[in-house]
Amino acid sequence: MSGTEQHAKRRTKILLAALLVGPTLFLVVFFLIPLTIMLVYSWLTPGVYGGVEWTFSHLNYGRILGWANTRYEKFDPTYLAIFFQSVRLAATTVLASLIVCYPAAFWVARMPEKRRQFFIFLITLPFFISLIVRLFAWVLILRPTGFLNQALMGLGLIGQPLEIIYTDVAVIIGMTYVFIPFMFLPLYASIEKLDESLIEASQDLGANRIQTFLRVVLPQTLPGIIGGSIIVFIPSLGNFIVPSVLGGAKVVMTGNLIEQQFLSARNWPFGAALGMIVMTAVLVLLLLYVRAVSREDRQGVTLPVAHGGAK
Amino acid sequence: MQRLAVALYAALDGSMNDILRIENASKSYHAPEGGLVQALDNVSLSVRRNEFLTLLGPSGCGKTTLLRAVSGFEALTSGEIFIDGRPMGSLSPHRRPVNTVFQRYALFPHLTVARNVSYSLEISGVGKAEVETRVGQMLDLVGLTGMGPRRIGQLSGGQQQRVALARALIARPKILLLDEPLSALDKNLRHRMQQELKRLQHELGISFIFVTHDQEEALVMSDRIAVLNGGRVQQLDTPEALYRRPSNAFVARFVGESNLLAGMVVASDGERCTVRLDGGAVIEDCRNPGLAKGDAVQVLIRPESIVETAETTESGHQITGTISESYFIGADYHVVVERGELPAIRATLRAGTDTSRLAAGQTATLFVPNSAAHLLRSGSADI
Amino acid sequence: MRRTSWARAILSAYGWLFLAFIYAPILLIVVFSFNSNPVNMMIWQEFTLDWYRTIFGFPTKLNELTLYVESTDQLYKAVFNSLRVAVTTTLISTVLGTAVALAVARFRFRLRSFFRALMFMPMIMPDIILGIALLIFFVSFGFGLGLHTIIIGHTTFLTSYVFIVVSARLADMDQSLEEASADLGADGWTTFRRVTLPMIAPGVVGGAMLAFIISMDDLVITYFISGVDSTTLPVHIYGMLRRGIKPEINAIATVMLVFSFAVASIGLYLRSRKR
Repeated sequence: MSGTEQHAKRRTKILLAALLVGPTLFLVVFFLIPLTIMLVYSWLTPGVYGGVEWTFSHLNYGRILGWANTRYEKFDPTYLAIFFQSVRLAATTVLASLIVCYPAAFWVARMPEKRRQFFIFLITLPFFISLIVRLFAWVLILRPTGFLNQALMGLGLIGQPLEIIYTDVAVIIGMTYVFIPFMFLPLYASIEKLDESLIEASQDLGANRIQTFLRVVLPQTLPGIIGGSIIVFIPSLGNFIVPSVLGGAKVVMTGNLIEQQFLSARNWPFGAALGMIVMTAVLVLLLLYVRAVSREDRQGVTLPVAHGGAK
Repeated sequence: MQRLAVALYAALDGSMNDILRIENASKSYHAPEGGLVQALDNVSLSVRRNEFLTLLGPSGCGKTTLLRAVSGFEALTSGEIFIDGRPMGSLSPHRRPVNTVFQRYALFPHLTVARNVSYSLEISGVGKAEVETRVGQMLDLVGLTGMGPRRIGQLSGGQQQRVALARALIARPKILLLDEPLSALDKNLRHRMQQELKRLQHELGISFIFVTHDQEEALVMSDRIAVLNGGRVQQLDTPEALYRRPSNAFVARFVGESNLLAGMVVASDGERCTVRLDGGAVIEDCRNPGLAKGDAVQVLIRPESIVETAETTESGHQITGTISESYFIGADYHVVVERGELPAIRATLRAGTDTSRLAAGQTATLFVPNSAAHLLRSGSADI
Repeated sequence: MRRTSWARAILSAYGWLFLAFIYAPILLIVVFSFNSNPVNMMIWQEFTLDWYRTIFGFPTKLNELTLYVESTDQLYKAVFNSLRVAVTTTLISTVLGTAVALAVARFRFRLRSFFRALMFMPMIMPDIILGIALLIFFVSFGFGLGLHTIIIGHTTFLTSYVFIVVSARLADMDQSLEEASADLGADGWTTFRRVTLPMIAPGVVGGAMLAFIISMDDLVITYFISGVDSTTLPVHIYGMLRRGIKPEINAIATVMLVFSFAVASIGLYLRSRKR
């Protein structure tokens, strides 16, 4: 290597380091370390008056998963029940948002180019409005004295107001609504890439519309379906705002449990343990997804990278 | 006795021989920028059983639209399509007894080769055992034996092409439509596939309707060619007839190289006539395409019919000029001879041993036999 | 074809229904923010601007009817806090996110995939996990909770958003332009200044706007790491909601809505234009 080449290489290295040192430091200190500390906390003993004692304890997990049987820390199956309920609600949300968003994504993907951009803009715009505002709207809609009941009673369709708010249904509606863009965009991306000629080929070979959808469209848009499902499932699982606002005290998800531990019960190690359970579930899901992606890659089909946030 | 009568009738009534009949097909639509686009203009043509017919024309001529009208993906504004005597009306594509080989194959990436090929059989509910047998036969037929379990992404362009063929043929369609299927292949592969397709068509006895813009391809493969331009059929004929006796200047120019010289009919006796070219040369004894004395005419002279020296018995005229361009193509020389104010002449001449006389800059004297002239009505650039 | 047109019509109808579903809650809030009914917000009484007057601190006759009037001071403080946090964190995260985007896109180094993964992690994690992790972190190291902790918390995940947007812009950008610049004699820094930077500027701006909006909207993470005195607007509203539904919320929500819409529209519009 010549002198100038060495010099250039060193300059590149310095430049690279300059670019990366700030972000790296910041993220290591304020992201990776906090996560590690949370992990550590989940194995510590809660202090008697809140706070934490730095002694190892596996009983936090024991209370959740079944082996705790001491005076202060007992296994309570409710925690697991709540966790599985959260999984159930999250899964239902994913299903609901799939059903709601898929036809809409299809509709937009079929539009001429210019209209498409505009409609995507139109669809994603409301989701830049604060979450709390949108959830508040749903409170107003779903309450016994809310808009929905007023409208239905006014039209004479029901005699008594429907009890929707503070039920599972309200939480699912809320979460589905809030996560629409996270399901819509990956679905749309996948559907847009669909080769029109594949649909024609299928029809040419004798398949009617339904058969074409099941045999060609669905498999081809599967990457979008999976991507969207994951992006919706993860924040749904750990959600606490929606169940808090729309579920009241009646619908409890893992997120609410965690919030309680940190802000009222002041049992941080236990809260951390609950958090770790959620984290583990998320990581397992992501691992499966990555595995599926690399397998698909080897088979010659590519899955899109799931963008979007868990907001 | 009755059967003889029916057979005789069938032989005489050409329409019984037609697997496809297109009658007065027109298609127009509104262009996004405004205005009406006439994609097809009163097209009528028939395809016989066991025939390889090519739709040939430049892009935008309507050939693909016509193909898609047959397969059902384009609706006609007016006119009717009959497949094996049955009117198609607005029948949707999946009900029509035709299958298509798409330009970019449209193979299902999420299915294996075998599942792609068996697709139409699965749709119609054919039993598993029969599916397996027929898929195997089909793969053998197209030269892809054993490739059933492969995934589409692993195949080369040529292999994908064959899968598309197999997939379209397995359902035993009455007509196979091919939409420029060879355009994505490189030259050698394309030549081989042309021969393959021809052989396949013969073996199977199914009519093929082939769309291309490549006139050489059309000439090689077709029993008959329909040349289209501007949504209309310019000429429907065998390759030789198309080449030797084009009916208008468009066909003359589109199929093969051409020299088109303007002239006037100076004498005519009905069948034959004499033409005087604008440059002064006189061509006698031409086949008269229905012109009278005094009519303007265009004379087509194919470059390869021009020679360097005349045979002793041949009648014709000489042309002299300077060679402005000269291309050596192995067996021949393509030359362009400039003649000052007269139109330049393209000629294809056999390369002998001494070729220096055919270099650019040389003066050349060439001979145009009268038999080489083919007359076109003047102003017949388009039907 | 006749047959496909009714399928198209149904799909279209569904599409519009879908849009109505998305916009209905928002429209309801806006409409009923002008409703003078203090008891049941969904039954229309008469048109009034009083709720807006209330939140802006003007006296209205409706004030006397409500039993407990939320102090507008607190509301303004929350807005101010939100803005301070949003501006600061946007600046920091834009710088950090762009830096990583440039590094990952234009340099080949061994830890490239690690950094890509690191950028994706905050976005993939549920908010609540980030929230409690940061809370534990700050408290165990003795940081008091306040606006500065909120800023830090926001920056951790906003950096990722900026990274994504700028990376996309860098990927879209035709690299041969940088090569052309070098070919014509510009050194690395000049090329960056004259070619790369102007070309990614819309992406950087877009990322910054996205970060700003998300920061203003953030609820869960802020909820855990804000101190008593450092409430932001979303957290404040959440608190209001928990204390009971009040008609002023409609008005506040509408104002926020208009503001968000305006910023988001500009942001999305810029992004789609420069594409």
